[in-house]
Amino acid sequence: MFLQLLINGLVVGSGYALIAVGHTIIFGMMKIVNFAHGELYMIGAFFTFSFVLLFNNYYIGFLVAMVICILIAIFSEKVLFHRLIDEDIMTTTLITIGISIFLMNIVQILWGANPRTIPQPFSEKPVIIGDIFITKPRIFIFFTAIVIIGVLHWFIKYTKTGKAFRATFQNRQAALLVGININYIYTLSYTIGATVAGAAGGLLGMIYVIEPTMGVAAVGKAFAIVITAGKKSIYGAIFIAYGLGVIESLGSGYISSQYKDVFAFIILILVLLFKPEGIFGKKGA
Amino acid sequence: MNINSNIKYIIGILLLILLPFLINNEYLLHLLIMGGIYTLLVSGLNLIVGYIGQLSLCHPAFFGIGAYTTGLLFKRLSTPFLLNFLLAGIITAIISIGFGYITLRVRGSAFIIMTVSFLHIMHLLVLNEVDFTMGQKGISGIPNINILGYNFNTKTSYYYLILILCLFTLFIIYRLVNSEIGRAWKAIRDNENLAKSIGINVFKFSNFAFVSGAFIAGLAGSIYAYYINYISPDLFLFSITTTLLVMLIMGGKGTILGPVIGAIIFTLLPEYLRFISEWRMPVFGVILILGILFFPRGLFSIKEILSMKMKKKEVSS
Amino acid sequence: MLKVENIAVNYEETRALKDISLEIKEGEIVSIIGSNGAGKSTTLKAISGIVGLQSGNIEFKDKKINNLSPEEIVKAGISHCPEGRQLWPDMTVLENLEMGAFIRENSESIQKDIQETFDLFPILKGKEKQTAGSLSGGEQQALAVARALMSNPQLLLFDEPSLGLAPQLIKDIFNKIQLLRDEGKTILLVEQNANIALKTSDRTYVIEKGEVVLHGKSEELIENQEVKEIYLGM
Ligand SMILES: Nc1ncnc2c1ncn2[C@@H]1O[C@H](COP(=O)(O)OP(=O)(O)O)[C@@H](O)[C@H]1O
Ligand SMILES: [Mg+2]
Repeated sequence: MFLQLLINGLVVGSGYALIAVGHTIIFGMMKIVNFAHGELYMIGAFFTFSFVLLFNNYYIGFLVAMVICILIAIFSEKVLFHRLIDEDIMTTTLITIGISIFLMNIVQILWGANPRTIPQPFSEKPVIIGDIFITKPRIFIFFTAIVIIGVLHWFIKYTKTGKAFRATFQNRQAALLVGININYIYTLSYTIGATVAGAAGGLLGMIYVIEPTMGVAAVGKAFAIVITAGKKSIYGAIFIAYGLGVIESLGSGYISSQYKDVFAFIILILVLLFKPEGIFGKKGA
Repeated sequence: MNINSNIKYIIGILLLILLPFLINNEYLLHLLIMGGIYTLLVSGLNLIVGYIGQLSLCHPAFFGIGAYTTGLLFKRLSTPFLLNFLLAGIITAIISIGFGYITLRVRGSAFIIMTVSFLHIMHLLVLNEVDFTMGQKGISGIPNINILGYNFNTKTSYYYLILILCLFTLFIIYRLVNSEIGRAWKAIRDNENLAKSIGINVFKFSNFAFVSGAFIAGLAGSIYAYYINYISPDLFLFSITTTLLVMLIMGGKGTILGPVIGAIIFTLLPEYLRFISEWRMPVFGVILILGILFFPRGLFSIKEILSMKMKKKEVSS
Repeated sequence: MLKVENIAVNYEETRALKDISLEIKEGEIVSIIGSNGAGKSTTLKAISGIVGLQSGNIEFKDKKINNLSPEEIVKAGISHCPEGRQLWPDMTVLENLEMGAFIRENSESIQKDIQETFDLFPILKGKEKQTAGSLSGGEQQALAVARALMSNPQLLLFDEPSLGLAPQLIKDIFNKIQLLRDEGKTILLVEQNANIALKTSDRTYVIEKGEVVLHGKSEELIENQEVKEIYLGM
C-alpha cells in the first residue's frame, strides 16, 4: 500500500512539478502573480484532447497541441503579460483573474462542460511489480516529465540563452547593461512557463478527467508550491511539487481522499507561520 | 458635507423609499433586493481591498458561513430570526478573526493565495460534511423572516429591510472611513512601512477591516438565506468572488458609493443582457481586464480622470 | 568621443536631471562628483540607455545614441559598471564574466580575455567556480569591473567603484582604472568620494540637483575653495 501510494504520488507530483516550474519562472522573472497559469494547463489538456482525436494518434496530437500552446503563449505575452511586468500585485492579480475567467468560460462554451479524458495510446494492461500496480500512461507521464525537466535544466544551466535567462532572473538591470535583450528573455520565459504547464495538461489528461475548471485547483497548488519553496527557487519548486504529490497521495490513502486538496493549504500555512521566506528561500529576498 | 449635498442625499433616500411604488414590478424589485445584498457584500469587501489594499478572494466564504449559520440554526434549533441574524454575523466574525490572525501577517501574493484556499476549503467542507450541512443538496425550507409576529412575505417588505440595512451599514462605514481608523487604513494602503514607522499597528488595523467586512457579509448571508429560502454549497464558488470584484473595481474601490453603484449596475446589467446568457462570465472576465487597465479607479472616475488631465495640462503649459 | 548635450531625465513625476552637458575625449579619465541624489547615476544610466531622455542629445563617436537600446549601446562600445556592483549572486565568477561578453560571438577570444582577467585581478584566481554572492566586497568589485571589461568597450562608465570598500582596496581599484586608461580605454567615473575622483581624473564635472554647477581640470578644482569646503570637507 505504501509503495503504491508513493508511486501514485510521484506521478501526480510530476504534473505539479511541470505546472509549478512554469509558475516559478513567470513569478520570479516577471513578478507577475499569474492566476491564469492554471488555464494553460487546462488549454493544453483540451487541445491535446481534440488533436489526439483529429490525428488519431496521441503523440502527434500532443505535439501539435504544444505548438498551439507556444503560439498562444507568445501572443498573450506580447499583447498582455508584457504590460504587467512590475505592475503592483493587486493589478496583476485582478487582470489575470479576468484572463482566467475568460479562458475557462470560452473553453466551456467551445468544448462544453462535460468531463472527458484524453484517449491514451497504451494497452490497458498495467505493469505489475510485486503487489504494486502501475498503469502505462502513469509510467509515460512520470518519465516524460523527467525528460522535460532535464531538458529545461540543461537549457538553463549550459546554453548561452539559458545563462542570459538566469542573469535576467537574478538581476534585470545588470542583464540590460551587458546587452541582453530582456524583452526577448521575458517572452521566452513566459512561453516556456506556459507551454510546460500545457504539457502537464496534455499528459495528466490521460489519467484524470479534463474539464474547463481544472485550472483553478491547479493554480492554487502551483501557488502553494511556489510560496512553500520560496518564490524564486526553480529547483526548490520541483522538489516541493513531488513532495506535495506524495503527501497528497499518502494523505488520501491513510487519512481522507475527500480532503486531499487541503494538505497543500495546511503546508502553506505552516510555512508562512514558521518560515515565511519559504523552505528554499533566502531571508530578505 | 454642505447643505447642498445633504439635500441631494435626502432626495436620493426619499426616492429609494418611494421606489417600490414607482416601479411596481416584482422582478425588478427582486433584482433591487439582490443589488442590496451585493451592496452589503461589496462594501464589506471594499474595506480590506479598497482601504487596506490587500486583495481578499474569500469574501463569498463569509457570506456562505452567515447563510449556513442561519440555515443550520433554523433547521436544528428553530431559533428566531433576530437571534439567527446576529449569530450569523458573530460566528462569521469569529471565524474571520481566526483566519485573519494567521494570514494577515503576510501581504501580497501569499495572502491572496491563502484566501483562495480558504474559500476552496470551506466549499469542500460544506460539500463533504453531509451529515452536518446536507452536502450538495443544500438546505431548503428556510421560512420567511418573522420579527415579533410580523411576517416578511412580500418583496416590498424585504426591500425595505435591505434598504435600512444598507443605509445603516454605509453610514457606519462612512463614519469609520472618516475617523482615525479610516486614516490609519489609508496610511497602510498607501505605504505600509511608513504607516508602521509612525506607529500604526498594521496587523491590528488590517484585521479590524477584514473582520468588519466579514461581519457584514455574515449578516448579508443570513438575510439572503431567509429571502431565497434555500442555500447550497454554490455560495462558496469562486465565480461569486469574480462577480464581487467586477462590482468593486468597476464601481470604484476605496470609495463609499463605488460599491453601491457597482453592485446595482452589475446586478441589473446581466439580467437585461440575457441574450448574452452563456457569454456572461467571459464578458465579466473581459470587463475586469479592461476595467483595471483603463478605469483603475472605477467607471465613474472618468470625470475625475478628465479633470485631472486638464489640470496637468494647465500646470505644464 | 562622448558628447552629452543638455539632457533632462524624469522618473515618473520627479525630475532627476534638469540640464546636463558634458564631453569626454578619447583617452581621458573624466569624473563626475556631487552629493547623494545629485543625478550622477542617472547620468550614466542615460548614457547606457537604461533610462530614457526627456530632452537633449547624446553622441558617441559622432553618432547619435540616445535612441538606441542598451544592447545596441553596449555593441557600440560603451560598458557601464553599475553602482552597488549588481552581480548575479547565484552565478559563478566564470559565468558572470561570460555574461559580460554576452554581445560577443567569438568564443576563443572570449576565453582568452577571461584568462587575462585573472591576470589583471589576481584576487579572483582560483575562485572561478565560486558563486559571485559568496565573494568578499573587494572581490565583488573586482569582478564587477572585470565583467564590464568583457564586452571589449572603448568607453567605460564606473558608478561609485569605491562604495563600501576599505581604503587599500579603493586604492587597488583606482590603480586598475588608471591602468585601463594607459591601455587605451576612455573612462567616465562617478564618485561620491571626491578626493580620490579628483586625484585620479583629468577633468571633473560637479553636478548638483541635476545640473552641472562647475567643471574644469581636476588639478585646478582640487584647489577650488568651494570644492574644498563642500566636497572635500576641508
Ligand atoms: N528609480 C527611480 N525612481 C524615482 N526616482 C529616482 C529613481 N532613481 C533615482 N531617483 C531620483 O533621482 C534623483 C537622482 O538620483 P541618482 O541619479 O541616483 O543620484 P546620485 O547617483 O547622484 O546619488 C534623486 O532625487 C533620486 O531620488
Ligand atoms: Mg548614485
